Amino acid sequence: MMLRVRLYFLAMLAMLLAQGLVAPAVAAQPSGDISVKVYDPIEPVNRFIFGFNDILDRILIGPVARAYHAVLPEFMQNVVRDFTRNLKSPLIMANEALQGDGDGFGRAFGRMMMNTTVGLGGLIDVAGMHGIPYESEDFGQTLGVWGVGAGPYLVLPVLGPSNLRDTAGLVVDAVADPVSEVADATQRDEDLQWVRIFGAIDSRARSENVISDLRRNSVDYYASMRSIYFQSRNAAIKDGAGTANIPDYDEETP
Amino acid sequence: MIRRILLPCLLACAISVAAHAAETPSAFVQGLGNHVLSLLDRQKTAGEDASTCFHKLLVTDFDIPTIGRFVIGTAWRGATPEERKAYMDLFENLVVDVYNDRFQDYSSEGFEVIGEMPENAKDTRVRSRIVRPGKPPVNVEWRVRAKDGGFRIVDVSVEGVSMTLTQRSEFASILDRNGGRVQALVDRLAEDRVKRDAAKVEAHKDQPPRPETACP
Repeated sequence: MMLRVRLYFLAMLAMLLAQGLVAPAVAAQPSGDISVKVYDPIEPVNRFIFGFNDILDRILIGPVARAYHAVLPEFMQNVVRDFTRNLKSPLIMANEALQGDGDGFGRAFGRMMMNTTVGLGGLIDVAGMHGIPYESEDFGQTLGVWGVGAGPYLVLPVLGPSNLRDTAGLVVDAVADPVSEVADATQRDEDLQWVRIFGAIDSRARSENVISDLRRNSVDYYASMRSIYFQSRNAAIKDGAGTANIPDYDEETP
Repeated sequence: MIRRILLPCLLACAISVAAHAAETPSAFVQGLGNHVLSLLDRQKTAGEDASTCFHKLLVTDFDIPTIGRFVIGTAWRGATPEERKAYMDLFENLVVDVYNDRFQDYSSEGFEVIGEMPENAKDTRVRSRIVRPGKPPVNVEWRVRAKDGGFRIVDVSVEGVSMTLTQRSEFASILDRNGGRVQALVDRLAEDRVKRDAAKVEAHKDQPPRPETACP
């Protein structure tokens, strides 16, 4: 099993590095000014999948998430969120370590210890209440910190906006997750699937305002999501906000 | 009687607002935030319609002509004067509608400026936080430009996502798919405006007319 994991890891890394050499233009953006064009060579395919996801969200996922939000008491929704987040702790710690972020590793470790014990096995985010908020880390982000470019933009079926780097990251995280290993070994993998499905519904429910805002207010919903995904991933990797370098048009000679 | 008390107060308030207007970018942003929250509060508690006030506030505090020029990109150069005018009018309307809509999500919440950082000779990045009870705070960064003796906002970034850049990439996408014709973008914006206006009428259809807020 470990060998398989390691081979997978290396193959992914090789692929990403190769891709990084092929498309170095998208790798480094000067900080403070993010290019507007997201590299999207298979836009027609992406738009098709995006349309499919949008319909799926309108007829199934969105209504389920709204029902979840309406029916479940708020503290139960927080339990769902906090429990799924706590299960991500080993992966978050691994990624913090791979990014060389010792403080981040310490916070993730502290959160896991506190929440798993005092927080009743992760049901309550005690650490969050004591000023150690949750930080999301994944292998796509780690690769970004290592300098791997985003690569082509991809819209994944059901999962939504991504890019080649982050998709590879998703695969690596999924394969390397020790929680899945433990669930497998103890025949609890089906329970884990349900926990993850509930976690996904919870996170969709929390995005309700943002999604309905974007649907209402976007001139081009696809392009808007693509830009937002690109910018927020960049912000997560660089730990800082990007901003537009907007010229002063008043100084132009007409 | 009421007038005798109210009038001096109104004058005093107007003066204090004017005095606040142009100290530092941070004070400007904090003032804007407080203003928005007070308008939201009036809408909520007094059942008033503050959309005219929001419109005024956006037009005076946001540098809409600069943002409009930036988000259309290089297509501006090829646009006729008529197209430019039509585009700018529709863009202003879009900004006003979109922010008016977005502000509504933030009623009864706290707004605090955390710090500022000069970006260049004219621009300052002001970091702020929207504090919501029982929820994680939302980080909002404002790019404020010194202009005409005061300040104007040229960009707002929410959790690292710039609204101006997002809009620019949306417009670029529409222009790209229409051979860079500005008229196509103008038509699209006009179409969207009709839809938004219809949605507004629909949203308030069954409600009694609300009194308009007297803008400060």
